[in-house]
Amino acid sequence: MFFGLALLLIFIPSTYREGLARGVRATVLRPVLALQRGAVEQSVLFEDAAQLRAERDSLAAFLVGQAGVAAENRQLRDLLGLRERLPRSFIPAEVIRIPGRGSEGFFQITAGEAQGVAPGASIVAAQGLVGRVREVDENVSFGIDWMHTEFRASAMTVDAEVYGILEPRRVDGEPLLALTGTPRHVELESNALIVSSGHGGVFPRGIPIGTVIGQEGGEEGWQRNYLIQPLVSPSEMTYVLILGDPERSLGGRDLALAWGIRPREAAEEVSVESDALDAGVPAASDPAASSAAGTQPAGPAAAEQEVPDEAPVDTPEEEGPALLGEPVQPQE
Amino acid sequence: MNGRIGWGFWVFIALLIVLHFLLRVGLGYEQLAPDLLVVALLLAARQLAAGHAAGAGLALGILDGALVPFALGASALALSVLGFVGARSRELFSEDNYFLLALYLFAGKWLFDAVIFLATGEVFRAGASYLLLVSPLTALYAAAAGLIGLTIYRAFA
Repeated sequence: MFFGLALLLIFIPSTYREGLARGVRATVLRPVLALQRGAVEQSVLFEDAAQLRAERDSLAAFLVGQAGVAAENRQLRDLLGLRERLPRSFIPAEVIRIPGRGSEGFFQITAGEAQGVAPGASIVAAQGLVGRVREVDENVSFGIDWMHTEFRASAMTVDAEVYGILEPRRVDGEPLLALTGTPRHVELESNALIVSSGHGGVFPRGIPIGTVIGQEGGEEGWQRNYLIQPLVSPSEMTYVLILGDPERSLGGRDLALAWGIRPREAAEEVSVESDALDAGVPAASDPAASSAAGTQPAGPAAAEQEVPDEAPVDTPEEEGPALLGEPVQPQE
Repeated sequence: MNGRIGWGFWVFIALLIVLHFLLRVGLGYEQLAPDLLVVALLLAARQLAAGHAAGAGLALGILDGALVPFALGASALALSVLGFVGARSRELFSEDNYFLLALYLFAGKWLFDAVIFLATGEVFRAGASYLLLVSPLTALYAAAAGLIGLTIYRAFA
């Protein structure tokens, strides 16, 4: 009888199986999972500070480099009468590998429904695509990476000339991807970058996935397949970002505040302004007053108008490097 | 044999199960910690009727498989089989023989890995290299941990 029940668990639809698993996790295994979450958060505190600082510096340099491009993009969209593109929200999380038990390509994530994770959401790392979320609990989720046998992604070259479907392969024990179903008359060069195409709606367009190693198999048939070296190796799948829904508030967020490079008075004023906006109350964002106080309005449209024209007037110290029109203030 | 087993033994088995989840999942030691769940079932099965041992295997399998939802059935099947076989092994050798007991734990853990690999289809994807190279080492580790645990239990029982 027990063998029959076990076999039933294998063959019942995954919805019922996952429902049972969710029930066990929410009851019997709840303390264990809570402990696991605490242990992971604790281990993060002891990460290499130098590496984190290097990553932060790289990100800061990238952010500063993109500031002008973003403003230009907003101006051009205004000129064309296009709405502002809503950037996606990101949910940071850690990946926990599940030992043994035939779980290759399957992992646990330390963020769940309570943090805004949704089933099917894309998971990315700094280098590119990791996988997608399969199942979501209250505070943890489960996902599959590109090594999992069920992983499929619609992909293309960066110039959008060649499209295909990515699926996992194992070549001499090494996990790779294969770009299948590409047209025979186009030949891809080695190291060509492959990104997600956005077709099918599973992964957003443009996420880097891997580079072409070479052709897989012969040239039989009307299609070519290519082996792809993924950009995110299994050992690099530690800290990930889960893509959330498009986030309106990010569009108007003053990123200089996030980096601690804006004067505190300005930060407080912008904070009050954004609070008013969040509450649905029209904010008293008088550009002239803002300029006189040595601040910039938080909204992107206002920033476009004010940043190039108005230099800060009431800045306490003018020496030191200037960033985004404001003197740099060290973080506390 | 059942006459010698008191509540202390079942506390010991429960402790092994709790330790398994605590070390492998809670504290994140993963493969660094031995598979105490299989060891607990193999030791407990020898004190149970075959049907009860299979039932215990099913319950532990559901518990274990809940961490890998798509493999839930595979874990349940593997541990049910292991419980049943473990209960039958009582007729083959005595627990007092530590060498045979170690061999029993080793073979049990290896059998568990084999059933999991077959049930999840992993053996067809990754090949049998894990089963032939890594699995015996993890089985050896589990057997050693089981023997040490049992020795400690007997010292205090």
